[in-house]
Amino acid sequence: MVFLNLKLANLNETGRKAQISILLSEFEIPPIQDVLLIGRRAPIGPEAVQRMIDVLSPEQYENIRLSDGPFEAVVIRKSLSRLITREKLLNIILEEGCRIANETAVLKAQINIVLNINVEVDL
Amino acid sequence: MMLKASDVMSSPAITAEILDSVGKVAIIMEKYQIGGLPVLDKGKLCGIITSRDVRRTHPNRIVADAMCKNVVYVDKDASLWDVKSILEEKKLERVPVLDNHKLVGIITKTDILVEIGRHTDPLTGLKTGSYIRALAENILKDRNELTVIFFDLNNFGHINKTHGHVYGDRCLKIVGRIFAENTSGGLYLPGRYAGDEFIVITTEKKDNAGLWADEIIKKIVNTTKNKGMPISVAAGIAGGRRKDARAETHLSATIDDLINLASLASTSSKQNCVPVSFSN
Repeated sequence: MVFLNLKLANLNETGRKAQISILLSEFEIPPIQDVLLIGRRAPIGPEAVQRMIDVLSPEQYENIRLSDGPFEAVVIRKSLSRLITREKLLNIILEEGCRIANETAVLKAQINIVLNINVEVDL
Repeated sequence: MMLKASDVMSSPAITAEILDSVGKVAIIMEKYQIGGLPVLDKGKLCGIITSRDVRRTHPNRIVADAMCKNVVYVDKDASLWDVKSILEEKKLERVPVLDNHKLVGIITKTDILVEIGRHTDPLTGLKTGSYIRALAENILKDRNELTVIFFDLNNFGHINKTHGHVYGDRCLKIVGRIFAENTSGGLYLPGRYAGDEFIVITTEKKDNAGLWADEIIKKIVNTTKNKGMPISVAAGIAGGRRKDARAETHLSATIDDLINLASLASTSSKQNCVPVSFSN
């Protein structure tokens, strides 16, 4: 991340002054991380999100429409379902999402799944 | 001539694009005072967005996220009565009109009601002859039985000349009301054909239609007699003896024939001083 702070104080001693701040950071691709929860009255809908991921990250996400609850759809990174079933993950995400969000929200979530594997072998 | 969707539709229809914002659609609706827009995706109809959809959706959303995707549409050649039925059955306010998969217009419930209002006889409140003809075409198109009953008031010209046209109009109103009151079940569909002539169509066979016509004539005679303006009526019946359903290729010509035959049968009733006659 690069942070530029240009002070223009000396450009005009007597007039009005402007301070320009530029925050540069890398664009996150894909911009929705692992999961996106889309509220029923959110400013963007599942169709718009679908078009965005089709262009930015084709075939990497699954757009799941929901019939009940505050969320209209959940967009999940497909690779997560290799580690945990879609239904299990969806239940956990929706349960947590419903606690903190309402119909107008669009929430993105980062999911870290750590597998602990212990294997015993004969020496 | 049967009225078609293309005769009544507003064309060209004001539309929205699938990637328009809901906010933009709201402005269009307000500007043109309309409650619904067909939605196009690369020129093809893909949905419809209504003011209700707009009210409950964030204005930043694209139309694709607010519209109804299961859009009901009609062909430009669909009859007006079919369009009316679709609007009523599906509880819709408007329906897009397509010509070979291309949007060519839109019809609202109001358009239909205005058009049907044009087909209502202001004196009797019954439908006009052209409306009844269109209904008859639909009955034949659906391969149903069709019987035409033609009623002609006897000596009505003489009544007008003797008692005046206002008196004559009162008689016609009474007769119209009798038809309306005795056809509420929908099995018999009455209309004012012209002057002192009335037409009723039904899917009943000719014998049942004959019994019904006889009853109506008795009611007209008794009611007008009790009101001090006695009228007698002659009726003629045609059709209503189809053995098997068959495809009609010339619906309009078939209906012309049936009306003509029923009319001639009513003349025969007059000449023979009988209430009801059947065409051969």
